[in-house]
Amino acid sequence: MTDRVLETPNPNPPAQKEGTIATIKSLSSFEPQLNRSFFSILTNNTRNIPTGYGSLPVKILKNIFKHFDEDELIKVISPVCQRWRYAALQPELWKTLKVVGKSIPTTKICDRIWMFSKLEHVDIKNISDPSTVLRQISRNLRQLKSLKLRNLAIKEESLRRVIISCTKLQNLDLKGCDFRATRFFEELSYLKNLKSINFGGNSYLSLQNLVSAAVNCKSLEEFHLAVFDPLEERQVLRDEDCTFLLATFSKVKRISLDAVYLSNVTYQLLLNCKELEYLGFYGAQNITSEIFRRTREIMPNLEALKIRFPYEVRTEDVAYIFSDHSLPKLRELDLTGSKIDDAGILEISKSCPNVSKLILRSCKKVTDINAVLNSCTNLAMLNVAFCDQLMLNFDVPYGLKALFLGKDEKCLEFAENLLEIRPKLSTKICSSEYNKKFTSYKVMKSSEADLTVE
Amino acid sequence: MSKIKLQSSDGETFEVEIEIAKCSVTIKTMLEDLGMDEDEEEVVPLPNVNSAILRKVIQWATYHKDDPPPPEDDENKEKRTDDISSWDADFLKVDQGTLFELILAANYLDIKGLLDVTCKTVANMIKGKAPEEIRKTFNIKNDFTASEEEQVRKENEWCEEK
Repeated sequence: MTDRVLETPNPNPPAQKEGTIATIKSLSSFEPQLNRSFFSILTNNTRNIPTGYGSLPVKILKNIFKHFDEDELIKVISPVCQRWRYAALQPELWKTLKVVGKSIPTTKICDRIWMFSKLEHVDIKNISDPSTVLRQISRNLRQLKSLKLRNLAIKEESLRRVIISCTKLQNLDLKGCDFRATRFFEELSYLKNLKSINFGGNSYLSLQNLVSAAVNCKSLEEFHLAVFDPLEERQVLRDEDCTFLLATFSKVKRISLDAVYLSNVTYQLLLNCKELEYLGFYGAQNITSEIFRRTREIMPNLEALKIRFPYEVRTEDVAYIFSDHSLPKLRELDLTGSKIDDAGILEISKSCPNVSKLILRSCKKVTDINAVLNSCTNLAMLNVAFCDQLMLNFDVPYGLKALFLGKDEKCLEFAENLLEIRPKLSTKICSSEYNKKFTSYKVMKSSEADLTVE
Repeated sequence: MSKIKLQSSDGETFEVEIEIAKCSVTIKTMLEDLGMDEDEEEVVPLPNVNSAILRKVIQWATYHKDDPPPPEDDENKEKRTDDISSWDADFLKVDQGTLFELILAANYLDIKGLLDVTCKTVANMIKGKAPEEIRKTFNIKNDFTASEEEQVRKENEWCEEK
C-alpha cells in the first residue's frame, strides 16, 4: 500500500552512513563468542544506523507524526526535510481530507484521494467537479467512514457508486446538495454501519425519498433535515410523516427537523426519545408554551438544543427550562427568534457552564449578555445578530473565535473597534434577518475600500 | 526468578530477570524461537545498544514490568500527547542525544511502550514550532532544492481558498 504514493520526492531518501563503521567494529569484537545464525535476529539490523532525527527510519517517524493532524503534517512536518516529508505523506497518517474551494484543480484533489487510500473522513465543499471527485472516492477509499459534501450539485449515479464501494460508511452528510434520486435511497440499505444522515436543503428531496430512506436505514442514530422545501408543491413534512419517521428511527439520538408545519404532536414524540442528545426544531412557531416547558425534562441529556422562532413560547418559559438545573453536557444552544430576556441569559450562565456555541440571533429582548460571557469560559462562537436591544459594549472573551453581528451602524462600529483590539477574532456581518447570508467584516471592509478607489 | 545476561555494545554485561528482558519482543521472540534453556548461562549480545542506554532501558522495563500489555493503537486517542505519566516524564528528562538513542534502542529491541512514550516526547518537542525552528532544535539539514521548496510551499495552501 505504501507504494501508492504520488509526488513524493525521492521515495528512498538515503540514510546517512556515518556511524556504520563504528557499529561494525563493535559487532566484530563479539563475533568470536556468538553463533551467527543463533543471534542473527539481533544483528541483521546493524547497518544504516541513523545518526540524527533527520534520518530516523520512516516507521519511527510515523510513530512520532501520528500525534499530528493532517494540517500540521502538511504545514509543519513536511517542509522540514525530504525524509520527514516522505514519512508525513504516508497514507496511514492521513485519515481526514478537507477540501474547500472551486479554485483547487480537480486533478489535485483526485491525486490526494489516490495517495491517501486509507482516508476515513472526507469533507468537501464548493468544488468545481464533484462527479469526477466522487468517482475517484468510490474507486479508492474502501475505509471511508464519513463523507460530507456541502452545497454541490451531484448526480444520483455518483452517489450510488460511492455507497456500493464504500461500504464502511457511517456518516453521510449531504446538506445543501441538490440531487434527484430514487434507487440511491433504497440502496442505502447496503450500508450496514450507517449511523447518520443529513439530507437538509435538497430541493429535489420528496416525502417518498424520506420514507424510502427510513425503511432502509433502521439503525440510524442521527437524522438531519434542517430545510425541507421540495420543488413539488404541496409536499411538506407533517406530523403524520414524523410519527412514521420517528417510529422507524427508534434509536435516534441526534435529530434536526424543518418544523414549519409540525406541531406539538411531533415535539412530544421527540421529547419521548429518551436517548436524545441533540434536538433541532427549526421554525417552531406551532409549539405551545405548555409543551415547550416539558423540554426541561430532557435538558440534562442534551448536548445541543436548537429551537428557532418559537413564537408562542413566553419569556418565562425559556428561562424555566434552564432554571435550577445543572447542564454540563450542553454545548450548543440556538434560541433564534425566541423571547428570551436578560433573566433567561442569567439562567443559562448558571446552568450551562460548557456552552461553546450560543446563537441568540433575533432575540429582541436581550439587552445584556455579560453574565454568559463571564461564566461560559468555553464559548467559541456567539451570534447576536439582530438583537436590537443588546448593548454593544461587552468585553469579547479571549476564547471567542467567531462573532456574528447585524448590519446596522452600531454593529459596524463595534466590529471596527474589535478589528483593532482583537485582530484574530473573526467578526461576521449578517446581511439580513430573513436569510442566513453573512460576510466577514474584514472582507466587507476591503471590498468597500475597492469600491471607493474606483 | 531466573535471570538472563544482556551484553551492551561496549561489552558491559547486565543481569536481568527474564520476565523484564521479555519486555523486549526482540529478546522474547528469540528466546522462544530458539527454545533457550533458562538454566543455561547464555549471554545475549545487543550490539546496537551501548551500556548507558541499556541501563536506562532496563530501568524503564523494571519500573513498567507489571504494566498491562499496551493496547492496540486506538485512532481516537492517538493525537493526545499530554498523557505521559509523571514517572516517564521524569525518566525522559534527558538530553536530545540520549532521547534519540533511547528511541533507536526501543525500536531495535521492539519495546512498544518505550517507543511510544519516547516518540510522544519528541512530538511534544515539535508541537508549536515552525519548520525552521524544528530543524534548529533537532539539528536537521534542509535538503530541499529551491524548486522542491516552492512545491512544498504551494502544497501548504492548496486546500484553503481564501
